[in-house]
Amino acid sequence: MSVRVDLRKWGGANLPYIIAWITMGVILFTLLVWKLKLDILIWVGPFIPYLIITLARIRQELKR
Amino acid sequence: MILAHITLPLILYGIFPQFNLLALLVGANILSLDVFPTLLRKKTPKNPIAEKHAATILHTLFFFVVLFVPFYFMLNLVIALSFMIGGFTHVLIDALDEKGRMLLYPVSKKFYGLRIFTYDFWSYVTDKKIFAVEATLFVAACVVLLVR
Repeated sequence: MSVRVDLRKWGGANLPYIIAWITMGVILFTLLVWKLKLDILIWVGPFIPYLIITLARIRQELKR
Repeated sequence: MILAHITLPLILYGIFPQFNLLALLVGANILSLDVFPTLLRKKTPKNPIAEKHAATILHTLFFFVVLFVPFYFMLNLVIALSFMIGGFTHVLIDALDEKGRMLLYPVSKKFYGLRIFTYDFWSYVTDKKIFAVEATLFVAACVVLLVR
């Protein structure tokens, strides 16, 4: 099923979830960089453009 | 699942420190390369379950079994095994969603799974039960990272 949502409405209604997911992601990434040293950035680096594409896609999808 | 693709390998590493953490994490996430056709698509399909993501050979157990052999000879047993187990965790936890995964590929191209979680991203990130599972795994993974 596809979900049609209004960006502001969806964001406003689900703000706690958005904050929690982002916080967990940032903490996990920070701990991983700390644990694996900077090695992990070599693996993660090439995927950053796709992360940007993903965010753009999410924004587009939310606007539909 | 989203964070579980990182937290579950970390928990496994906490239980079995003999594994190579980087190989576990790479194995558990490399298969998501098949999300690119989905990301680069021009239109959102009416039925996301039918999209390419998670429907290619990358999201099969077979893919990692095949890669195990060259990795074993080119690298070593620990890295090859860690990579394969990491991949297995991804495929198996993905099989919990309503799409299921091709667990018996190449014998069968049918999608198998428990179908207890939603596949739809928007429903997924706002589901209380799913969030509780992911948050629990997150806490356990943080403990592993801080203790080990």
